[in-house]
Amino acid sequence: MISSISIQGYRSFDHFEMPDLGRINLLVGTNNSGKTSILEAVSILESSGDIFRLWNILWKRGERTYKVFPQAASTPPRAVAEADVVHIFHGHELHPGTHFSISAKNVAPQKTVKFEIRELGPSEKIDGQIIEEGDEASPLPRLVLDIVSTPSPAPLPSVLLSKTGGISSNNIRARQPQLERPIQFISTESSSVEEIMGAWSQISLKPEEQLVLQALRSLDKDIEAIALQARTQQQYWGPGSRGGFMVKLKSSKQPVPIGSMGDGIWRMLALSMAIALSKGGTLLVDEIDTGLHYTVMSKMWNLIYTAAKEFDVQVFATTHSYDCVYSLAQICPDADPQNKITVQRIEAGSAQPIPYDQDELTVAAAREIEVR
Amino acid sequence: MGLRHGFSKILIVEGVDDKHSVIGLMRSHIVWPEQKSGWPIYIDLGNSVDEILNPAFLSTQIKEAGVITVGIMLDADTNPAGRYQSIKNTCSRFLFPMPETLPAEGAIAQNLGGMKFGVWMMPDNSSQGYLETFLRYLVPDREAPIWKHAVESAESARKLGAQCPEKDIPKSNLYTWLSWQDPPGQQPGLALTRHILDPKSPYAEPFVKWFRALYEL
Repeated sequence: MISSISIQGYRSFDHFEMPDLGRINLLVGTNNSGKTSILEAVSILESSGDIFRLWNILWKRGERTYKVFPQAASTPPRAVAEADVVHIFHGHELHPGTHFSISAKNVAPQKTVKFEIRELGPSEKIDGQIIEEGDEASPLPRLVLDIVSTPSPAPLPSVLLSKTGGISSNNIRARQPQLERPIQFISTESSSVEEIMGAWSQISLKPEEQLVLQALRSLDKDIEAIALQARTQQQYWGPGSRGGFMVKLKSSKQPVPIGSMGDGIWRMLALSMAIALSKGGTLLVDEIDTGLHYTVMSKMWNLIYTAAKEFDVQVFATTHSYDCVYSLAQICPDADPQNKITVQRIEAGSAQPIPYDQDELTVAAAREIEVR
Repeated sequence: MGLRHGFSKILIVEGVDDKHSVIGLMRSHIVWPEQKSGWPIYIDLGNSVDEILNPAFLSTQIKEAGVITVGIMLDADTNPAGRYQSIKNTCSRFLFPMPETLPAEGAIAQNLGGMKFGVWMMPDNSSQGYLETFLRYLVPDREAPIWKHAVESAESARKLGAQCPEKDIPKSNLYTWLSWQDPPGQQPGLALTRHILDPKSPYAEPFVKWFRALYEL
């Protein structure tokens, strides 16, 4: 587990330190205080600067474009996806020397990931990097993104940026995702059918399936079982479909499509599978209260805390909801010191968060003290 | 969303009598609307002194979002210096420049972040005693013979076997005297509001001054 993280130059954070982290860390604060950026930073750090992870982060933020390249006559133009890199650097500008770094300080040697921009050397060639098609010789040198992770077994290959400062999907296609420890990132958007089905295929018929079922039953005691039934192509991908997941309810003879059961169930499905899949690693959940009524949040936190301890998962989540913080505080009196629970209030422009430990959260809940 | 929503200034006291006494006293000196939502500060009740002196309790109050001023009003009881040191230690991490010992006018400190923290120990920041020790001096001068009678009556009752503990004698005296007022047996807070206890007494001035300086009212 990371016990202390330092962020320099990533997005809105110039210098930011967050010490005294625990098993569960709930980030609160006003809109735009940087809560999601912190989740991203943890993700980048724990993945040792994996370029695919960065790509996903930029994609989810909408920091992407499609570049259209005309083809030979009678061939339709080709669209290539490109993720914009500029906004992850504090100051929103790309120059040689622009960099950010993220460190975990509790480990020795200290673990750090550094992203830095430099110029492409005059006769430098980077393996696997495609210079943009239709690219005339440009008077400006091209920029390269160097990713350095320490300690690291091997240096990561540099990434050539497009002339507009993007990472082209062409240039990462040949890479292999590097992942030493599992990291699951649940964003605010509803999980896609593909994501859920992909996760399900790793869990089905394994002990972890029980955790998922238990999680769904905490929302609706009527649920007895969940299964994936073969459906036609139409039914998988049709609007509003949920991939053929069926749920057996005690009260009904016929299985019910999971889509009939509301967004909370889908969200809890995603969340519980994510915890099961992040054993020994990290779970990141943006706006963890999404789709969940306040009456089920205590059950959700109990589930997450128990599973996190059992599976050795470190959890970082964000929320705006008072009930979400309050429910987490309810499990604090019984939390053990080896598996701390913290709430961190992130204040825009401040170099450190305002932390709350489990004793303080217990007081805050009892007295309705506003920690957000 | 809690009851404290929207309040940036907090006073922590031990019990309801303390709370209503503060309100009853201060409303003769500053504007204090009837409706709770219009109150100039939020008054929080600690369940016990031990709870108030618990570091997690104080730190959570100080760290509350949007709060800029936190004050504590406690009985000195038998060890005012000890209680003050305990509070001072808990607050040290918030870098309030607290005075070494509690001054007669009460403690007020402001840290570099702009937050203010204050401490008042009833009755006068140095003597042993309680809220009731303080309130005794707000009994109007014209009531002196009746007050004397209250003290003597309470003592007679103890001689007859009344169970009031030694340390609670000031409280017993005050409530005895209050039982003979019009209306009989009202709470000290109401007695202050109705000027049966005198909120403008010179004895109350140091506390009023401390309160107004801390909360800038």
